[in-house]
Amino acid sequence: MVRSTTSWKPLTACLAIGLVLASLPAPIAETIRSGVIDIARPGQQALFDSAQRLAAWRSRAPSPRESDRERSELDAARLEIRRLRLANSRLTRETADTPSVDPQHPPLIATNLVTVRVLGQETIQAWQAGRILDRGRGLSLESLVVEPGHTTLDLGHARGHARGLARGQPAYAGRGVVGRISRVGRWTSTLQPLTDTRFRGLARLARPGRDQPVFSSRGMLEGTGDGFCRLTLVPATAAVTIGDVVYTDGRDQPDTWPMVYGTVVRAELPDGAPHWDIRIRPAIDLGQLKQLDVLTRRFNRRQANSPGVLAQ
Amino acid sequence: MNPLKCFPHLVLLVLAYAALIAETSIAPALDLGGLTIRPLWIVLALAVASCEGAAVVAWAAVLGFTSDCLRGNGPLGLDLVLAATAVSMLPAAWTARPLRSITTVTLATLILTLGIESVSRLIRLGAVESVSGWLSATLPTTLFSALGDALANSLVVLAALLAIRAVQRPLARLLLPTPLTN
Repeated sequence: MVRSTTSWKPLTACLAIGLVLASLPAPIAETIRSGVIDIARPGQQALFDSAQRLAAWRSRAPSPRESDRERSELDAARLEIRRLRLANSRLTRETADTPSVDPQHPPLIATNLVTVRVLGQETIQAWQAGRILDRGRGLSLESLVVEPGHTTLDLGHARGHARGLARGQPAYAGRGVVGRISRVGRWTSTLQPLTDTRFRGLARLARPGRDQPVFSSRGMLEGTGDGFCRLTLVPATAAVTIGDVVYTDGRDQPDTWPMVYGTVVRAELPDGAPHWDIRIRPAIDLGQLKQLDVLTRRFNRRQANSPGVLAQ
Repeated sequence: MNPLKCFPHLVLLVLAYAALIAETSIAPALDLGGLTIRPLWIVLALAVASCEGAAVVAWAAVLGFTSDCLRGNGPLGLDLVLAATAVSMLPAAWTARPLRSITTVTLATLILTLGIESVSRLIRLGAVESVSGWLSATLPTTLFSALGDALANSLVVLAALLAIRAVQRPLARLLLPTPLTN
């Protein structure tokens, strides 16, 4: 039989130490534990530094093929940075040239974007059928403004006129043109979509540029009634290609940047015709529209009452 | 006093510190399918292999105390007592003189890791769990888990010792004087 010859004294001493350690109060035991873990910290730091140095050394020694590829990518990135810097400086210059509004002298005509919701067909039918309960707010059938082929807008609790809505005001969804207000009611209003045959608007063609669109010929945008538009009065001498973007033209926009009507999907120049026949797909899907912004214009009363303006 | 006698202890001290760093940085990051490498018990097995007598118990106490400090729960000093008891219960032939056999050192690693880890975990879990589910759920799971860790530890020791021996032999041949020939 194999018998351990180890002396019992060291084991007894260890048992005694173990008992003493086990009977220590928790805060002291935690302090001891933290002290031992702290001893490991310099070694951990050294290990971490070594691992980082190793990783840096490995990343510094790429293969020749990789280094060629990285060099070419670096050159391309430098060129791109230079180009972007030039574009940035040009845009900064243009912004500086744009006349800013003086806060001491606000403009005579104040513009504002009023957000309205689009009423669904089911809601309109429920209203017309009298299924929507009127709780004494004058929700009669006459309050509902509906036009065939036009979108009906929910104006909220404020009356349409009180919110500054008026006939002819343009409506946008994001940067896309949706149409214009055709009728304003008490609670609702109607929107003439840009695809409506009676819709007309000044437009400008642009082809996609590297930094910004390159604007070219002007024309008149008309709705065709089949979900598309046409751009007329574009001279035959103009360069038109499929994919060109049609922007609004004029100065009555919410900001300095024009809004988008749509994209050219067909461009034909019949023999001997003086103008292009251009078909446009609207930028906004009118069937999916749930909310839009109406650009309102209001006479600035503060400006009119100021002593600097002559009242006639 | 022969200064060469201190050399194994110095090496063990360095290894113990390396094990402490490994336990707190490398071992938790290793993904071995649920197995855990315990470098402290590997160093303990190396201490059994290189030291003798009371020095083995002293090293067991030091390494057990370090393991106690690394565990967040349970009584402080438990692993110290378990490690000291485990090395005391090893066959006298293993602790009376330094070990040369790779198989014996690997076996010592397996026994020490399994013994210390299983008892330590059972006591620590028993301190917080109810007695009813202890026999049916905790005991088998803990034993299997400790056995897996012990096997993983033994494999690491076996691989390391085989690698050291593979390097030692050609070096020894190089250092030997070339025999004279006619």
